[in-house]
Amino acid sequence: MKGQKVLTIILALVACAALVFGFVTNGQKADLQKVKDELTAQVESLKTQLTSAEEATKAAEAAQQVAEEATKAAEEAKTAAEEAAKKAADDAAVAIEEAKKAAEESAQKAIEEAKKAAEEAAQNVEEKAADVAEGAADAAGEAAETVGEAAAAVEEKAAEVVEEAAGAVEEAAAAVEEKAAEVVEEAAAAVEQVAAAVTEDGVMNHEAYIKAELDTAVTVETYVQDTQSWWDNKITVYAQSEDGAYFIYNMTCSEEDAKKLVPGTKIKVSGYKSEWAGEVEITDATFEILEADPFVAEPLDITAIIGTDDYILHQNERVCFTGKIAAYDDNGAAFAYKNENDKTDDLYFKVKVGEEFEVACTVEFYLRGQDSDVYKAVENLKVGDEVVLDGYLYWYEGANPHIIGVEVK
Amino acid sequence: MKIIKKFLIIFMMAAMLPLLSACHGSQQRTGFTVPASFDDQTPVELIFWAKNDTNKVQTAVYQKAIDDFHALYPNITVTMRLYTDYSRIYNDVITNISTDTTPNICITYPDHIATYITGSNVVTPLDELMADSRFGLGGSEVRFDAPTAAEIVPEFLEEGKINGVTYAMPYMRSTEAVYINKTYVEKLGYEVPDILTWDYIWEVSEAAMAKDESGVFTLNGQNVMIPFIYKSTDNMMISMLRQLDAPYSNENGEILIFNDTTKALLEEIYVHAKSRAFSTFGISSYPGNFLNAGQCLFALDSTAGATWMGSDAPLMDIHSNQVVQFETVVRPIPQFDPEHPKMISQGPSVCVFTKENDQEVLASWLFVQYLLSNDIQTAYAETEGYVPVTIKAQESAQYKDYLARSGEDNQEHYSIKIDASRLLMNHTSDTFTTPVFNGSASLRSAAGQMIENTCKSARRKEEMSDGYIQKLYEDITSLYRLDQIDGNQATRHIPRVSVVLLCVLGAFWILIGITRLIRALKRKPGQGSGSR
Repeated sequence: MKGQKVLTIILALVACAALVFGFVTNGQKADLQKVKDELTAQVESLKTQLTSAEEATKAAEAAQQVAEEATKAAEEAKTAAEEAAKKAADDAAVAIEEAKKAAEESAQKAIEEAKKAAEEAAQNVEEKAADVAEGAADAAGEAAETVGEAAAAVEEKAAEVVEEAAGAVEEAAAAVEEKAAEVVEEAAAAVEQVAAAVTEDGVMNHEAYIKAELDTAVTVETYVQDTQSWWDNKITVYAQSEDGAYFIYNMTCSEEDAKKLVPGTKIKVSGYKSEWAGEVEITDATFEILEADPFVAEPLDITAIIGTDDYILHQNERVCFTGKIAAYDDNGAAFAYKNENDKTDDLYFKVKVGEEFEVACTVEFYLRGQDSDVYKAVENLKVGDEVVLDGYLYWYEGANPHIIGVEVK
Repeated sequence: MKIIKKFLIIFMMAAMLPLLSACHGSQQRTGFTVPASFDDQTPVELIFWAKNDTNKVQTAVYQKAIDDFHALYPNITVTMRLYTDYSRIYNDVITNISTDTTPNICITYPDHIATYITGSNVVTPLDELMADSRFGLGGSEVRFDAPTAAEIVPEFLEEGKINGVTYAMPYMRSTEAVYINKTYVEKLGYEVPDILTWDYIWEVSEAAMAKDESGVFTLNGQNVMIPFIYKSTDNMMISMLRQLDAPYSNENGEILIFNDTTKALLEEIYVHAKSRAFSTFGISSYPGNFLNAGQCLFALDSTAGATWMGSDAPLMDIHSNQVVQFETVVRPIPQFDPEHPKMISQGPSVCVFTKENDQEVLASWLFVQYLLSNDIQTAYAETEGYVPVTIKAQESAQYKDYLARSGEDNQEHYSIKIDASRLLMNHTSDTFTTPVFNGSASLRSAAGQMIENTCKSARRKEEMSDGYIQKLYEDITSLYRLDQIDGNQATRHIPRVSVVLLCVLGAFWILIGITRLIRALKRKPGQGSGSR
């Protein structure tokens, strides 16, 4: 009896202990799992940030290296230009000397030859005079006089020749010096120009960017004008400075940083100059935000430029132009959806500018979605509408502006 | 006392239950069971996420399928959402799994399904449905002429299996092909063989890079020539490795791609990227645009892109004044062993997502079957260089008539499109797929990215070396997290604490059992078990 009671009590105590233990364990496990999940999420986030930071660091190091190499190249170019100028000047001086020397030698030679000729002539005259000595004293005297005059004339002529030669040599020397000076000046100007296009830390101006070869590393400082939607740590940026525009495709960018890329923000971008279907762009890019007054470009009216050779020079710039809506397809529609079922993709339409040119336009969905004013405006367009369009002069197998504003006249 | 003891025993048993909850993981979603009957009265709305190739005719085919299906099953309404990009469907499905707002039916790839099924009962296994005598393939209660299992191309059907379970039905199939400017190839002094080799394509591509004194390409008289452009570098690496029987991955999710064969392939590609004889879609743009402008000899793209290829292509992305006239021919992709060609099998499949309402799942399955019916199969296949996935449709009079009218016009019967379809039909047994596991989609992207990076490095005059390859492998592994792919973990490890608790529980019950037994044995005959 007593044993049974004891057993019962023990079992009861065990049951309570198990219950408490179970709840505590459950609670601890749940807490640990929660902590584990949080830590895992933090680790993932940190890994992503670390990867981005590593990539940014690598890119910055690569950019720095490129900048250093560019600076070194600029210095080498400058040194080479100076050396070339110096060499040119030296060569010019040597040439002057040689020309002088040659002129003097020529003059000397001419004098000697003239003298020799005069002597020979004199000798001839003397011999002749000797032959007709008796009755040709006057003639001899005249002949001697003539020889003397001839010799004097020859000497005078030789002197003139020497003077002229010396003058010509001096002019030539002066011309050479002047040319050498011009060459040195041009070289210095070119060096200065190159130095201006690429700063000491490797940043290019737009002209240098345009002249850069495809698939070379580039670094530019520019201003955000617009962006497409951020996705998967990438963002596409429409950028423009006072001297030109850039399209920066799929630039590495965290979601947090993407929010800072508002129009007017100054950024320093390092990447590679590429071309895709005619669109010149910067790819594999990283960036840093710079402190500066904002810059937002005013749209440039390119109505008169469309179809001319200058058209492509404004690639990626903020532009505006006037035209009439043309039929997009054989059915006479004013526009087309890329995804007509859901209307969650690009819009396409065409604009006739003047009598000759038709511009294929796009409302890029990731730039302006279906809730935007421009998307709705395009959906309401009719063939024949006269419109003023505002956008970025993107290029895809020809001009294909990404439109951000439509005004129907 | 007896009552107290009984109460304590019951309480103890109840007290043990929370311990059992400590050993279990997250709650399981209820699996699908084929209903006893189909409810054709209660309205059912199905959400169908579909993908098209930016092709209005394909959209029209889908819409007709929806309308005709609704006419057969008036209580079922299908609402379609169209995508133009598989990756967007994939991303949206992944996002919606966690909130249980996936669509009912979705165009997909088996690679994607491998990720979807890491969640419990997300994608409906189809074997039971397929075999059901009433609602299965060609079942007795299906209201339309649906194909039986035997009438579906077996290779295509097999591709929808993961770990032996069918999760996807094939919808359309395509492969890759080389679209060749035969006029220019012959102008270079070469003939176009039936099966190209990699040596041939590299040689002819390099020959096409010749320029005159002014820097213009002699072959086309233009400033642009990229003789060989590959659209999908994922497929390029996968196909090359398969043709060489070199490692890529296996069913267990082991990543085997970082090997010497891959290195040798990248080194070869580097050479031709450096000379600019080879480029990719990612670097240069669509192969078809360059082909049609006379700026490319070998445009390698899907057979489902055939309508964009050639001087008379019905679809063009370049201005008509840029198009050059030339003869276009279609061939299988280049091979290392032309006697035993191998090419990838691709194309959309369709899957069903499990829902609480089994009738909804059954309705979804019926719609999937309808997509396999002849009218839909032939109509959709004719929009591009696809082939129907059913033998029934391939051998139908309608489809045979379509093939026979090749070249009749440059729209529906565009010869290049039909040639591309014929290519796949003639080489169905030469097609292959890659192992599918959780992470196989990332591996595929990684394979392609290695080629993209190599080409960019070549163009940017970076040096190719063992060190470069090693770093490339490391960067790619990191970028795609290939070292974190767990493949097909069939079992989940039970935590040690749970094991200990289970053992303790078991020990106590054994102890209780022994105690009761001893007591029973000690009890004298005639004595009760109670106490006073």
